Amino acid sequence: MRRHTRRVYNLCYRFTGNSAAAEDLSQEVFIRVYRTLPTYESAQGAFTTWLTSVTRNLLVDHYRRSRRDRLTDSINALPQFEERPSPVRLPDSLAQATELSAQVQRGLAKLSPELREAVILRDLQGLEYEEIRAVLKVPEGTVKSRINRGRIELARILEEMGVRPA
Amino acid sequence: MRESSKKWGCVRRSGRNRMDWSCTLTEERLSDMLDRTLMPEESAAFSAHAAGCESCAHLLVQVGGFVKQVQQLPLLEEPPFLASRIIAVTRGDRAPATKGWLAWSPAIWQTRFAMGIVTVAATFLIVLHAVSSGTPGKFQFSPASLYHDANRRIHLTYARGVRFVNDLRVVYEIQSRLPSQPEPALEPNPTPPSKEGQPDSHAPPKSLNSPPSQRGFPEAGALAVLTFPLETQSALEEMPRSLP
Repeated sequence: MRRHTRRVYNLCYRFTGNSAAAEDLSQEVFIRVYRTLPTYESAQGAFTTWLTSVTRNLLVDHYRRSRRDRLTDSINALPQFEERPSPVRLPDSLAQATELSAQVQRGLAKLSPELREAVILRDLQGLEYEEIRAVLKVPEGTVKSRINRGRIELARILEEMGVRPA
Repeated sequence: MRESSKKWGCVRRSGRNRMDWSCTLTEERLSDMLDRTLMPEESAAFSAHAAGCESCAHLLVQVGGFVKQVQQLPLLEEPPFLASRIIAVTRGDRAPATKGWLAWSPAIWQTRFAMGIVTVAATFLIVLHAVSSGTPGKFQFSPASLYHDANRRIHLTYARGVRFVNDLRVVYEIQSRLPSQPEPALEPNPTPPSKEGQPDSHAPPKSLNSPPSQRGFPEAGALAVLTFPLETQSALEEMPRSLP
């Protein structure tokens, strides 16, 4: 369980942009996994793919709930994404990585949910196209298209934010 | 290959296949180029187009650089105790096991347990005091004797209380009736003497030695019997004869 906690938490945090919500969602993911574990069959695919699929379903539910809440509360049209402050003074390379991570998070927040989840699964979680297709339950062509459009859109957003590519 | 070439814009020119790569196609196949999933001739056509197109070259460098950076980002550290919290939620909280014979000791220090002990001790002392005061010098701890003795003492106490309340009622009734009668012989009667044969309600009593019925108020005993409620009278009748 501990092996997968970090992956699930990262997926939740990158999608929601909120550490408290990511914690709650991670907890909810493992509760659901604990309850539905007997339904998992290894023939369907790797456990990591199944776990990612469960996480993604919960994230979609969370997104729909929060979107409904935002519609009723028109003050905040966009979700507020929090910065994760660094508790200690970091070396330059680590500080740059932390800064880039925060900028990427802000850029991801501006993507549409479909493009966001595709980019997160591919570039941040490192899943293969086949695994992403199994998680998203869409054809592989759609997966490739979403990843491509998400990358281009994210690059455009980061460039507008003043971030320089490597 | 032919279909693939047709799909990706491959046209035949001067007897050999040549990719007619456009900017739109560059944008569409950008991720395939970055993930190295393009076929060799497609990759060559892509590179050739990017070399001659400034916007596509910029797009390739820009997106490729960002994708590389994003892929190299380390995973964020999850908050501490998240895994423990998840385990606690999925398996339920488990109290730390205390080894040895002191494992039961924490329960003693709970408030409820202490109050229970105090209540039991107080009850035991009360019962013991009741038993010992009834039969000084020797205790009878059999449940039957304890029950009978406690029952007897409760009834005695109740009977004493009933008698005390009834006495108070008698006294109160007498006192409440007394002020309603006129004060006799405090001042001379200015009214003219009434006719003979007609009783004068304002006349003083004939004599203090006359019975109370002739003095204008009933006897105390009769009054008490009249004013007692029925249940009080029955309680008095059921009162044990061996009252101290």
